[in-house]
Amino acid sequence: MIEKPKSFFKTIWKFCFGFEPIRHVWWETLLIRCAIAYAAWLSLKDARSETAQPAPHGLAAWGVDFTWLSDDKTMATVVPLLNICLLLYILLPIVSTWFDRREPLRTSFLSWLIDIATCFILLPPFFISLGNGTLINSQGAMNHTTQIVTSALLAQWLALAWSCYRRDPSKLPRGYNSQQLAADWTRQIIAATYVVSATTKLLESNGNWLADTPYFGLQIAKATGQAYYEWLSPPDNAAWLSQFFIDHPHVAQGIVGLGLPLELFAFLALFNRRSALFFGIGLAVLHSTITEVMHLNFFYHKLLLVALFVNPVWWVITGTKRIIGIKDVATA
Amino acid sequence: MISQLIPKLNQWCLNLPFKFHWFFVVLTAVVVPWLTASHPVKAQRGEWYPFSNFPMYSNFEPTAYYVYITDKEDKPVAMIPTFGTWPTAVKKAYDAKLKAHAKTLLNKKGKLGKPSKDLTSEECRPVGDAMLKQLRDASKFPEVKKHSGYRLYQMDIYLDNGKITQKPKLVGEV
Repeated sequence: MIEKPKSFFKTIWKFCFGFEPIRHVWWETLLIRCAIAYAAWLSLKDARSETAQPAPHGLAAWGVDFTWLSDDKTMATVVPLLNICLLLYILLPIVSTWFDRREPLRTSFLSWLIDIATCFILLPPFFISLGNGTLINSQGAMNHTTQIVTSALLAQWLALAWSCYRRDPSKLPRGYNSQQLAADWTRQIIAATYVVSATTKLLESNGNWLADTPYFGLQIAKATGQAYYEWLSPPDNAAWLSQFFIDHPHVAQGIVGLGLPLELFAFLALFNRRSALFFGIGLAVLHSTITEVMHLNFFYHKLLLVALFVNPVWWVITGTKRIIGIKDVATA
Repeated sequence: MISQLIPKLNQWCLNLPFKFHWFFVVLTAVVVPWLTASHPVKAQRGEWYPFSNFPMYSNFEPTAYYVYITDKEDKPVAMIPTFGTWPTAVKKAYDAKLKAHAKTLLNKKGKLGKPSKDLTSEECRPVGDAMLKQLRDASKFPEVKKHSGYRLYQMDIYLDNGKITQKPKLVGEV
């Protein structure tokens, strides 16, 4: 029987969005954990400057007091413990991988115990990250800098907890092991933040978001002024764009508007490594552009996008292997 | 009709890829905004850390403003080393309070609820004074004691014949 040739469109579609579960090898999950732990450490390493909760938000609105996170003496004890937790979170799963490689059948129980231990170890960083963000947002203004870090810790914890609950790795989705599942769920939660952000833009502006983008110029002027008064040093952002966007509204719509589909369809990044690479680079470039224009940092977003979506080390190693493989075939 | 639709919907949900992703999309775009819809502070609606519907830059308007702080001689003060916070956070907190205050003022028609954009410098003063007092009292940085007092300015940004124009107004003093 002659196989019916696939159409060009179908081939392209399958290449871009064909579902191929991303099964990371052990060192990829190690790099992902390193990136998450580094982001968590960076956001939690210092005592907060906020000493009160004048506008309680989230858990603080339910009466939970997080002002102890601003106490220097308390944090001098908490931060080293936090560092130990993050270090163990990075290292413990390697032990599991090592045992699994040596005696996969006999050590599955040990791997399960290590997953449980990692789950418990991840709780303090998660709760401190939650408290840290809640305290910041309890000052009367919403800040969206560290949501992605806390969300990543939450996704990691939920995936590990789910793996522990299922116990048998064959019961996990798509044949993932616990660390692959943790990476997958972290990617899913990060993609969700972008999809929601785009949805809010469409809803809040009554669908006029793209039409109103030339007014983004005023936001650049605002961000430039705000950046100056942080440390009284002139910001190095592209402030000239503010008037340029007003003078050239179609250019503004073209440039600023590109971000909307990238965010709205961020879930397509979950289909395979290629789509993850495309959206990862796209969103990282979007954040870098905003950093350049608006003087907003987005470091955590960029770090996690690179670690979880772009995954450059895997591409370099796979690419190198392929090149070497081709050479081998050629010489053979 | 509905009896046929429900099993179909159920099957569709079961087949939906990335359920974890869509669960968080629904949670942060629908459930959290619905649960926080009656929050008195508009900025807190849709927010429950770490869940957020990310409303930043979701609506562009032909006006904008930021706030900055000076000493009593109108010399600008660096906000991070003095108050441990960013101008953007101060602006958001000030804006939330300003909008709540504007609701208590009479508009042109003599009814309660004046647009916060139309408030005069004097009408903003109670909010600006309170904001500055909160910042000064909550700061744990020694820098805050270097100045005898502070002024809060609102820098209005608007278009004047197609040109971006900025105009400051004094809104608080302690």
